[in-house]
Amino acid sequence: MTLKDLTKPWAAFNYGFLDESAKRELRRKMLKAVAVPGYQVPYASREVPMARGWGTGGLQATLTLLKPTSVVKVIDQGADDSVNAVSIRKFFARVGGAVETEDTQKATIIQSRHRIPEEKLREDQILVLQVPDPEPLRAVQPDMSIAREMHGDADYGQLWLVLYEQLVKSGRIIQGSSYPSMVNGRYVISPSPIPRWDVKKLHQADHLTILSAGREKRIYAVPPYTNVEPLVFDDVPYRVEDHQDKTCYRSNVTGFFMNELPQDDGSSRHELSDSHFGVKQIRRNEGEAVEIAKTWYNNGRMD
Amino acid sequence: MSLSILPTADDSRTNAIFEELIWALSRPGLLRTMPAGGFTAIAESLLDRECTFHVLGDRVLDGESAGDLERDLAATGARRADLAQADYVFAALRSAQAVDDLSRLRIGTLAYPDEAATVFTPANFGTGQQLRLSGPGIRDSVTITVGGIDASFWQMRAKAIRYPLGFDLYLVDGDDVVGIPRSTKVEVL
Amino acid sequence: MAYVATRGGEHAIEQAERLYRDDLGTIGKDRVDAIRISLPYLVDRLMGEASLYEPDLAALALAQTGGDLYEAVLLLRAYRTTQPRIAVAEPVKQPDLFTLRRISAAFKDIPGGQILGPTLDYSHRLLQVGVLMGEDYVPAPVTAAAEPAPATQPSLAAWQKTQGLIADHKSEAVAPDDIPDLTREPLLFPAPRAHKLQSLARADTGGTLALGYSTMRGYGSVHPTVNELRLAEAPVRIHHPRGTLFSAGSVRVSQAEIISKAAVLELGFSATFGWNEVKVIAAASLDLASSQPDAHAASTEEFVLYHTEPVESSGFCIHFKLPHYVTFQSTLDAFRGVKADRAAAAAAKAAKPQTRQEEAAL
Repeated sequence: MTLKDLTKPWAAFNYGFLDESAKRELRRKMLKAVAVPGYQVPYASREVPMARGWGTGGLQATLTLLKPTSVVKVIDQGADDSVNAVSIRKFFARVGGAVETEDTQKATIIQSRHRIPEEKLREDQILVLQVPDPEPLRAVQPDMSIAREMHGDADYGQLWLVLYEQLVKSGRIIQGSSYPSMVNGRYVISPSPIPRWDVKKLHQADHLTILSAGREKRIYAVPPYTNVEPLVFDDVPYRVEDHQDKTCYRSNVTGFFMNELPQDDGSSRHELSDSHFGVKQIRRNEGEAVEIAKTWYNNGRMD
Repeated sequence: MSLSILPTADDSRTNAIFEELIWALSRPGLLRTMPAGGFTAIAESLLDRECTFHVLGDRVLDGESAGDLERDLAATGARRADLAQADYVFAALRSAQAVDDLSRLRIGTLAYPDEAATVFTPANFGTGQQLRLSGPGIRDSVTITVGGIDASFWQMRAKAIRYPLGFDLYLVDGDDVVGIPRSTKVEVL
Repeated sequence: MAYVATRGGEHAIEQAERLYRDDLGTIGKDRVDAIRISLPYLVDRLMGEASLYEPDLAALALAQTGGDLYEAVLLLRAYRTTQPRIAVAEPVKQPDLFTLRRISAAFKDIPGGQILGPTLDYSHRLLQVGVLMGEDYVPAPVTAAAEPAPATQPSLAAWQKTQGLIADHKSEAVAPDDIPDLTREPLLFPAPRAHKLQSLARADTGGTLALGYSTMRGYGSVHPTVNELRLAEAPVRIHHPRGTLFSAGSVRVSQAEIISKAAVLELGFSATFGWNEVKVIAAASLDLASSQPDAHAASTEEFVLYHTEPVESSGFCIHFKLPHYVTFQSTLDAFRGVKADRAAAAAAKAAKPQTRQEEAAL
């Protein structure tokens, strides 16, 4: 045997950038994440050609799933053309030969930062959420080792206390995004900083969601048809953002999550946060035959 | 700089097998078909020197077929380990004795429930025991028929799992695979 | 299509990168060579933080990023992760190191001698402004010692152990292949010794100094003394698949032992690629401080190792430039809700007394 036998022919990078050993590790960890919904599985999280905090966790999950026939949609804050989303999507095409799309319905893998599309995902689609901070207990326990013990004991009393304090002080729960949610009745997760509007889309969904934090080196999952319940008190119902009556000034559509755009005169305008959903609505308004899938919310409500 | 945008045959095969495995585990009870079959192909997509394995019984898990599973698993670089320490367990579960032997497998700890075994076992789909599965990944419930596994196994599984502690299971019939994670409730009908 | 036109992300990011690269101009081999030759200590610092020993690649990374050190570390780390691991080198012991500089502050003289080697420690830090007027700054020639120092030096800690001054921890016999590897496993706590030293070896120099300095100043119970500091060339010996042990070259390394003057003498240790004295002294102090019972919050293992990771910390810091308007919107909604509730409550309260007044008026 020679040293050469131990290696492969030289290539600048592997298919999908990650080497086989990195992919195998991610495969093993993703399967464990699926097997124990909501539990944060530690993984090595290799460096990738993007800065930590810029979607490296989502990137590694997607790269592991990627094949040349994958159709990939990448969104940041709901927008496909947000600069970092563009950069990530280009990377998938560059190292994986993947087909790029902006259409939620056409995608096989959707990697997203901070939003879940308004169109309902199907069971053949995988949602990969980028996670900056996977630890819902961080605010009450910055020490990760202790937080891990608390998860082990399902010791979430302090989280309830935080929510209760908000109620007492402010009259309502003021947790904005990253709303702590109980998965399969066992683990509390941070659903990543998606708005409260989107958390309900994880509950008993048709699709698989992988949540991956590259910098913090944790991966967790919400399988399809799994309970995801925001922590709430029996007598204080969960409230999504008050966007049900807002109308998008571009597409004239009402009842979805909106971006608020401050105006010079002191007022605000609103536009759909899910940018391609907006594009499709506009095209439809202009008479094009555009296929828009069922949406999670109808008339601003979710069943 | 030239970037490789075409997967090699190895890349494609291991990727496709993983896709079936994650699909199967995300939807317990759903039968998935792998492009290339068998335990060796599964091992190739998951195992390497960073994990350990254990084989209970063999002659490619009593299919008495050609090949040498132990050797194939070791070829991935993964290390043989005692059952109580092994990450991946390949076991034929045709007898009550085999099921009893398996009961020493690792089920993880409360801090690290992922440090639990994944079991791959040969099975026959379509004949044998009727099982009703429910839990994450399953809308309401699903019923499957599985043969080639000793009846005592399901009781042993129920006893071993103290969720989130437990083990994750793949039933393998040739190229077909069904996943049953520890989160799945199994009722023997 | 009006929706997309207002953003134009794709064009914008491409041009932004071009602007950056335009400032740096064409990068050729000459520039890379010049960086490697003229900035060896910067190249060393980078190789240490990247945990990749390859001076040419490190110089290239500096050229490509215009010297933005965090960007350069990321470039090298991202390159490193894609490389196959074909062998694990044999462990190197202190007496194996080709030592160019080795000093101890704990003793006046030590077996093997104090060897100053190359250092600016005792130089006067005067800027040679003449160079800018066209006068070359030519280094004065080195006068060779009458008797050259031996190429290798014994371990001072070994002497201290035989004297019973410091505990002789049994070294664990771990096969090279089984040594825990931080680049392939997540860092979990309590961290294996190997992970801790690896993490410190590739820690950010500035971050390590900041935390190390805080323990040196008194945020911690360690009173550090440099037991031994070495700059050396470490031989890299690996086993050929046929079994022969052979030399694959050498790498510049620094290592420091810090000894505490507390109740018992204890050692902290750090080693890294390249010559970087500040980092190994600070890191060895942190190694020692974080091993103390009830370590100060800023010198616990978890705190130190998490917050000195250069790629993670710098990446997270700059990620705040990314848009966060969805999360902001979500928070805004909650605050407006609270405000509306209060306004409604105040209105209700204001309405009540008024009714009473009306009653009174009747």
